[in-house]
Amino acid sequence: MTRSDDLFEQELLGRFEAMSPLPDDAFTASVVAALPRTGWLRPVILVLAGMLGVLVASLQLPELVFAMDRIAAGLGVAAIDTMGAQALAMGIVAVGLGAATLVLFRRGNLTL
Amino acid sequence: MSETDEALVARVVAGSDRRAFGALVSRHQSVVRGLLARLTGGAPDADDLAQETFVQAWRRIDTYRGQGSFRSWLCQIAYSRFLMGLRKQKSHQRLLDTAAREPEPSSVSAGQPGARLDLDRALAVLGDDERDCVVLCYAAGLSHADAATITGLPLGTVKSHVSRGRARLKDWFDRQESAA
Repeated sequence: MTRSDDLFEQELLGRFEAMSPLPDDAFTASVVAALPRTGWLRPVILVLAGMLGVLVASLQLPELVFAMDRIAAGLGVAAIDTMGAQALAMGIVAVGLGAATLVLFRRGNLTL
Repeated sequence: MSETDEALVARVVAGSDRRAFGALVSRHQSVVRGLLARLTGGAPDADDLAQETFVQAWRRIDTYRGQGSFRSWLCQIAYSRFLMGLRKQKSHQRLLDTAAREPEPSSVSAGQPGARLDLDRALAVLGDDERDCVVLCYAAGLSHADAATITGLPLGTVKSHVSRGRARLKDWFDRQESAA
């Protein structure tokens, strides 16, 4: 004797439901323990790398500016005199951050 | 009152809130583990795949746009993991091997002995696409449209796979009862 389609539909749903594993706190704990901690690690690494970059840039910038100055006939000295070496370095970093923000925004990783 | 999936996801995205993600895991683990258990024919490493699914969901959670249900999004990741891993290892052969084994005691809520074995053995008679569509719709409770999105098959194809798969399962169970 065979079942009707409706009856079998209910029976099949019941079979799948009966086979569904019960919620297991140990499974949840194992998943949470396996989660990578990149959530805070990545920003920390990026900030440290950025600070290091600013430090190197501010140490090297006067030399670079003076080298360029020889080419640009005094423009570098005028820029440093006007803005200061560190302000110039921060300006360059700000332009870089702005460009990165623009790229992330265009990729959809940032939303307003 | 418990938070919605979307609220928990927002907490995870905003502050990498592991507790909020744990709540999502608790809420959806039965569906994901059940889905992978049926897709793999009850393979012992189905829970490992489920864990990988949740870890990948954690990494990619900022890509969840809330356009469909969070459960459907998770099932999509789970199905991708299944395809990457177990299908390469001839999962159909695993299904047959599993069907030949005695069911091991587990934390499933089934009361009747051999029920899991019966279901996995019955699913093993279906074609790969048929089985995947049936399992997505019945084990994970997804709509045909969600199953179509996840498998990448046209909606009409999913509907016919589910319909044909259900008919073949009915025949299989009817034959088993007649023989008993």
